[in-house]
Amino acid sequence: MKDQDTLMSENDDDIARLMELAGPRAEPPAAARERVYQAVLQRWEQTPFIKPQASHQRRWMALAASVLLGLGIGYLTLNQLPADAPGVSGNIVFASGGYSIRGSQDISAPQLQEGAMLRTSGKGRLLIQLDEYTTLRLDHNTSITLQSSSEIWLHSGRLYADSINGAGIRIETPFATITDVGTQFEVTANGETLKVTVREGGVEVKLLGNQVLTATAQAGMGERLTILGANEVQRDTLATTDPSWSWTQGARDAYDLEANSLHDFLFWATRESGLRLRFTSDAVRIASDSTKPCCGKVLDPRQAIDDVLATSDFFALDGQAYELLIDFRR
Amino acid sequence: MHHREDYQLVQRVLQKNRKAFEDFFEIYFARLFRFCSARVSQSDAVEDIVQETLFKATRSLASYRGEASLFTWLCQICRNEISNWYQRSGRKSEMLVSLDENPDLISTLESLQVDFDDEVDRLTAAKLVQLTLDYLPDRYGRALEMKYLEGLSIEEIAGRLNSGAIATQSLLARARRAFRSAFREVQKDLETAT
Repeated sequence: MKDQDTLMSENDDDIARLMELAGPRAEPPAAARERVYQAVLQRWEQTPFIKPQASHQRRWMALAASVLLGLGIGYLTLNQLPADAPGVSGNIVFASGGYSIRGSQDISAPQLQEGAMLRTSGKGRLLIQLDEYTTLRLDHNTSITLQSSSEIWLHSGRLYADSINGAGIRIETPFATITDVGTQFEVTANGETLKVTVREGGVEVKLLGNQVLTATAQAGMGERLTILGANEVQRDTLATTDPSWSWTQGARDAYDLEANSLHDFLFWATRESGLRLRFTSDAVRIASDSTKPCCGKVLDPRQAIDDVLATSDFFALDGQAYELLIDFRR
Repeated sequence: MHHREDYQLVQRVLQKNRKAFEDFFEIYFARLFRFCSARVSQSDAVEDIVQETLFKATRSLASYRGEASLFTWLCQICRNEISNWYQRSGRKSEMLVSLDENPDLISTLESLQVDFDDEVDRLTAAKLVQLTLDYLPDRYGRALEMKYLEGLSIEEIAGRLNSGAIATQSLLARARRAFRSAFREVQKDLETAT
């Protein structure tokens, strides 16, 4: 191997020849680049902000300090804390109607401890924030146990999970385990029947006999699995904008337009409506991110899309029924 | 070896720096696309695999420590995605490049003392060289292309890179050494892929 290539030498015949014969690197198709760019950008915008890491030396000093502090606190509190105090599994951010909590839980506290058992009443609905990107909505007469922020036991009733970043939450039911893969989906458990309906992305459903099924949503249609008596499976589809999803709108607060950009509003409203958001170009998307929508708070996301766009320089192009394609008035 | 520039880019992406994200995408999308295209023949599948790779990378960037180059790290994710795709699609893994038709290039490659085995024999030289360039730091790859493909003088390259003539000569010397070394990495990578 020619390792003697120095600043003064022009020992480059081999590389020159190779490069000439190989030619320039092939560029991927522009359309593919644009599609992937938009998709990855959207995901990146949903990822959490990470603080810069300290240098190695500062990290070690911080680690040493925290160990000493931990030992001190541990010594002082060892005999005062329960040996296995439960962690926090989520927060209730919206409640309507009535609900009850069982377990070692103070009902007046919005923070839910691991192991908390919740039951909504015949008119009750709840929205629980499990982590920054994952929420859980409970419909009327639903009973769950929050084992942790990523493991939920659904005893009966209906829940809707919205996991923007593919957090991998697991829903345990008497007949199956449902794991999300970055998605919106609904699970209904009633007696001998379990229904899993996907609105975005995909889920894996593992039946009691270890059979694994998948259900996905594409082009505005989501798959629905109906599992009868643990192993009889029926499969059909449901539109992501079907009115039967509308119960989820009763389990959240109004959206504050003034606290968010037009881009964020459109992202929220399309996600709530089962639509896919697209922009005609990155420039339009960026412009929407620096535009403030008007005005106040909204409840109905589908109606609000029309109202908000009408008061902005942006508009929706005619396109697929399952997507909202945004352009800028030039 | 710590890949400081890659690590710093990742840190800025994690801090939601838009320019850093654009740089990250600009540098690595095309490289991953070529990496994947050399292993999967369906172009729509290539797009899906690269997108999924970047999704996973975006979610896992915080775990990047700079111990390998960022491209090597991304290739590892991409390789897993390719393997998953082959499993799901029930197809047999394939390498899509072949050297058989170009004896000139084979002899040139041999002058680099590349050990040819059955797998490398099936590579086309063009793709092998392009994959090698992808493994280099962006600045090295661009400098080599400017010199040997565009035929620019040292002064012209220096002008484009906002650098001095001596520094550019030094950069090219380092780029050539890195090219030869990366050639072996590509070989190794292809061997482990089979």
